[in-house]
Amino acid sequence: MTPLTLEQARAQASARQETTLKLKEALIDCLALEKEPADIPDDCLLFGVGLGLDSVDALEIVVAIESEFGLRVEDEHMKEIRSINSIVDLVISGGELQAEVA
Amino acid sequence: MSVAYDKIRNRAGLVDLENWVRFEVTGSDAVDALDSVVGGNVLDLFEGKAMNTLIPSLDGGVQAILWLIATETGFLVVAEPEEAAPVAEVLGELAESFDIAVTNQADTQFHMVLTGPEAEAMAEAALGDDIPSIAFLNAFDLPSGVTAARIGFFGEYELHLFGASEAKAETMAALTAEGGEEIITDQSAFPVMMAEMRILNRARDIADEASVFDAGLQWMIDFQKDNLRGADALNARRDEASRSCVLMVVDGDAATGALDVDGETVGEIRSAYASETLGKTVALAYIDADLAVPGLVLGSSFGVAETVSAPAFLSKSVTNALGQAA
Repeated sequence: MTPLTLEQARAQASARQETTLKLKEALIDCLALEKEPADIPDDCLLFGVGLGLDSVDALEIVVAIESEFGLRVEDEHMKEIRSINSIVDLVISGGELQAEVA
Repeated sequence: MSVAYDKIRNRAGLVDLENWVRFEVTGSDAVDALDSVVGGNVLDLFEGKAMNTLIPSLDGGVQAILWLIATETGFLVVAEPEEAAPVAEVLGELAESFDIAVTNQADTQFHMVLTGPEAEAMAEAALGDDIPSIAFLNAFDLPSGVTAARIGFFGEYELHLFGASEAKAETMAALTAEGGEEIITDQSAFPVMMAEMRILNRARDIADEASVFDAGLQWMIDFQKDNLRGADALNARRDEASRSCVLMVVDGDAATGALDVDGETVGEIRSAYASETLGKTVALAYIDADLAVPGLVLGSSFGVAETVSAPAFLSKSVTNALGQAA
């Protein structure tokens, strides 16, 4: 894989951080978490150790992703709902997939 | 592949954790005392539950990382050996101002861990049918008097066992009778296995000046607590993170130091290990906040380095569990 230039890396990171912030705000809203986005690390696990969410919350998370990003979360994607970063990966890959279809 | 790593990542390893920190905290003020110093909410930690949390330093850093296990009589404080001094210091201070008893169990209680993808089946065969019912973040007193706790450091199934020193040989014999003497191994692979899962050891992986937020450990803190230790400093440092801890996979030797990209220093590799699963170096780096996202491939002074999501891979224990769930 060809390394990015620092400029390219910063641009890619900026775009991802924008999506990450949007996701955190959506989850804080839909799960009524008493947290600020900065209180949730990007690698934080959502279930068990980490945010301590449960399986009921998983459904709320799916609804939030679908409404916030206009994506449909299929059953095979459910295993990706484990951390903020893994959901952002899903959102980004979902967006790319939709762009290809369009 | 190193023997210890191979056993734990591919089958099962039984490791004596005699040098790890373990204190018992009992007394009428035990909940309030611990709640006043750890980031997590101890009021919500009921008997049989475990919590991974930290003691924030008064300047918003990390004084110690530990596990709390709520038992029938109080709390068991468990931590890696490097946390012995800070944990003892803080608990000593608590004992002077709260109605609690703090007992160092290092000389009277054993601590061992059975871990790896085949560990649960071995533990069930050796220790009884209760084992599969012990969920992650839970603890259970076995009929033998040994406390079994599901806490985690390596991303594998882990069963930590605590009991009276007199019961150590018997417990170890029961486990080796099922797994064979070859399951006994040492702690040499712990640093790389923890790095692969992005589980931080304070002494190895966190610089003294790093904040809880730089380290990405703010999830261990309940910021709604009225009595949060170091709350003002933590709140002040929330939005100050200039560098953040990220997991990197590096095509190069395991080395630490300044991380340069395009001739510019963008961070520091704090710890690095040869990951035998990845066949590459896995590193914990503190990099500029505007680069602290996964998926960046950088031509660095250490070789091509990619920032990755944690964990670096799904362990066999997790893969097996996901397969069963499906």
